[in-house]
Amino acid sequence: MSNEIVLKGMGTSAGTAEGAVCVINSRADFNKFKEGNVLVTKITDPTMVMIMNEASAIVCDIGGITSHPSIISRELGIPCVVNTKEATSKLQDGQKIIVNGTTGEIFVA
Amino acid sequence: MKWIDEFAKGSFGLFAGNTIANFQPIDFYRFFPMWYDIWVGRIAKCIRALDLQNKSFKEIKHLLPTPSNMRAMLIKIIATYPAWREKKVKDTKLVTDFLARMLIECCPKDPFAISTNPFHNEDEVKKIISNISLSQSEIEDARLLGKLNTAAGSLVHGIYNDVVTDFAWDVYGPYVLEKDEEQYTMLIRHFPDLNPKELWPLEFLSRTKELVIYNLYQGVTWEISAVGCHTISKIGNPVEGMKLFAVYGDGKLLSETEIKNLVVELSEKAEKIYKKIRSMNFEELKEKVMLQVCYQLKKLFVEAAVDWKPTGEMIERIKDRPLPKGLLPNDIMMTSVKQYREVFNIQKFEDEVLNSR
Repeated sequence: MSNEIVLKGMGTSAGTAEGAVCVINSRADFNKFKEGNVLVTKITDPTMVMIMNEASAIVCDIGGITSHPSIISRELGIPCVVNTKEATSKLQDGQKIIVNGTTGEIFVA
Repeated sequence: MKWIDEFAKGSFGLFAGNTIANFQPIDFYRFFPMWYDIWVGRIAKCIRALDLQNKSFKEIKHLLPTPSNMRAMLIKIIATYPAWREKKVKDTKLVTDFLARMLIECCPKDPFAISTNPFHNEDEVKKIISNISLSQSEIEDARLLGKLNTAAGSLVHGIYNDVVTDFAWDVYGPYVLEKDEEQYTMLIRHFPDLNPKELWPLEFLSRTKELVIYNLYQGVTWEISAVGCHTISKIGNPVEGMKLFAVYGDGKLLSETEIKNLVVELSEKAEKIYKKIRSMNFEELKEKVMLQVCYQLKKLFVEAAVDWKPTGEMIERIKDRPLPKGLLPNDIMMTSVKQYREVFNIQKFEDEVLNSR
């Protein structure tokens, strides 16, 4: 893949997916989430189940292999990258990215 | 019995590339030392009262939680032991040796889930396959079951938080088996208690208490590690590779419509309970976490005629007190078993407790 890397974290659910970023900082942001978006947040929690089910990939600032986003992504069969430290500040709504849940790399699409 | 080395290898998976600061809703590795000595002493009392040292897993399995839950209990006892107020060496040795023996008996091929969680033997797997009603799986079915797992798992994360998630969410296998001359790999996802009325009001709980999901795959290689309840597909796509499935709620086979309804119910309850948790203050959270921990062994305590709930002495230890500092580093990522053994006090525990006379 020759695209530019924008972030690197820990890949905790394998696979690759492309989608537009939707940054979720609070529940107020849930309404802007569209099916196929990449869910970008500090760390997911059970209030986000509905939008996680519609996400093409999940990217988090913190977390590990057994954290909520990692476990859920593996069950859904979508890529997940955690522990990026700055995904919510570096990625912007609508930005097209490619998430590689195997290597933990995030590219500009 | 020398089990600690295998235990260290298996439990390292839970922390590899992780920091303990990620656990929710409070830093329980700092919280447990405030009262764990009393709780472990009470477990020892139950073991002695029921003479469990001399009983096999088969005889008492109805009193015990899932294997992943027993592994997680060991981790928490061992890691926090050095900071306990009272070092109950004999009780602690009795309890940890007992849990380790139960794991060795119930999962003899991989007691500490280094790469599998083989809770059933070959005969039991055959019996399961002949007793369940399997359906062919299309990609849409696999996605629906992914959503069901997500919803049930998220409700578990609400009901039990990260504290004892393993109590209500285990995965057994992978079991390689043959059915109708085809070879499959089976995972059994088990949610044994989605309805603990002792912990939360009914409005937050599922109407279904026990959920069991049988997934049969082809072309997918699975690993189950990190205490046992965590699945990782090493080769193949779990959605495309799922070929047969069955979902049972409280022993009843669920139809596609019932599964869809359950996904909605569990997702809504998960959201509701987590909002409640977020509204709780620090004192309420401490008491709730203590209750969640004690609930794990309710059946055992009831059998031994010992009150399973936190005692006044346990509650007094935590009331209006901050969490102690400095036991385990919050921000250091675990990168090797050797580092993990040192940071999580495993060597210290072996020297002080397991090797004690």
